[in-house]
Amino acid sequence: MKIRSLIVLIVLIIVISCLGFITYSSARNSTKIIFSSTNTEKVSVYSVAKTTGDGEPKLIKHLSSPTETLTLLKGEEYRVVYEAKDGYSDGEKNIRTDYTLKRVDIKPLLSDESLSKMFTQADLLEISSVFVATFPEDSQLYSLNPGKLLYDGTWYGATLTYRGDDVFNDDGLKIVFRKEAGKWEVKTTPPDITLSKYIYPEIPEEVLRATNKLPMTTPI
Amino acid sequence: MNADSKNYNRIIIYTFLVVLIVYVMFNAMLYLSRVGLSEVTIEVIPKDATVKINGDITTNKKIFMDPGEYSFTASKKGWQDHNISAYLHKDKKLTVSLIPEPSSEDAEKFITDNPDIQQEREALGGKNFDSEYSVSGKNPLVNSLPYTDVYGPFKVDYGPSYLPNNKSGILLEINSSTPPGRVKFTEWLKQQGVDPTDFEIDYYDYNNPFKESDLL
Repeated sequence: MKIRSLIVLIVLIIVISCLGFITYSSARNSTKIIFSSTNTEKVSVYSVAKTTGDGEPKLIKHLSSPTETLTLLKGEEYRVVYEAKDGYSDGEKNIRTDYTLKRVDIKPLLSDESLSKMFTQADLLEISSVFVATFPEDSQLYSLNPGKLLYDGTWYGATLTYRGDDVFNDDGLKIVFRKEAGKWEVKTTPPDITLSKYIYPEIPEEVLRATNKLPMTTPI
Repeated sequence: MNADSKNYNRIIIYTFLVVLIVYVMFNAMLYLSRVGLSEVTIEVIPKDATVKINGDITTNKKIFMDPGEYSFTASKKGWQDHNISAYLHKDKKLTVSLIPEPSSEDAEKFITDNPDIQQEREALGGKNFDSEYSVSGKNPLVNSLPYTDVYGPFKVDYGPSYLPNNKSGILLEINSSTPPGRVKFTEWLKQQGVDPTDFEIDYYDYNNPFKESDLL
């Protein structure tokens, strides 16, 4: 009897140790991330590394509230896909759960339709005047093309077409304006062939990317 | 078998079981302490340089850390600090080689008097170049440079960036180009799956008039 009790006790200890080992191991391999979303209808988190049978990223969870904490694996890549409310753009972003990531903020940008409604003829005239006032000499060599209101509606990206006679330097250029305290200002000095996030770290990357993608069009 | 012999065998077995259990528990605890962490090996010459990770001094040359980007710095009086930023991936080992440069007479003399140490330093420097956190490891585009398009025309190569916020350390240099060539270059970047926003680019043949203008 004593031997049997001893064996049962040893088996119990082993089983409990294994369960504890698995639980602790799982906890050490995970990290809690807070997801906070505004102006969204639906937010879903997918695993980039794990896929379903047809090769699609595996769904981790559809978030059920504007602020929710998920326990995710450390060091893994995830994709956050969101459907925005009316007036905002749907989108997605990739995140990597390294030691610095504690929170993910999901803030959809204004839709192109919303932004175009915000931009007025008065804005266009002011931007043209600001361009000439900022570059009194060089603005004579360039024409400012119609651009786009971007990001939160306070940024405007546009292109410049060369009108001079130096055929070796007749490149089209990109330029960004910002409306601050009700007034438009040039933020990329100088305008350039392409705009870099390292040269303009104060300009949102989304603004720089959208401006770099603008096609050269006919001038105003 | 007499009683003494049986007792002796029991002691041997129990001792063996205790040692085995202690060994298994020790390894289990060691494993648990490293779950979710990745191994980093730090090599540094001179060996007595102070090594910091994200500003915190460490004396360990093998460490287990959470995945993420870290800044490794080796410093010693009379030597120029060597700093490396590297990304530690999950389930992957990372070796960081730190080789501060001599910046004093004593340091120069040390290198001259110890040619074998200088050879070790050169070997570590070569490792840095080939490692995943080297320039070509962090920016796959660099592996295809220099690239020349004779019809563009344009030529693109890379050099060091001196902007402190440019963690890639890369400056793309565009040469032998005309205005249509520079447009072709941006199209080529797009074909490589690259956004020009993510690079510091110098168009050497282009004289930007706005760079010399008087701003109000």
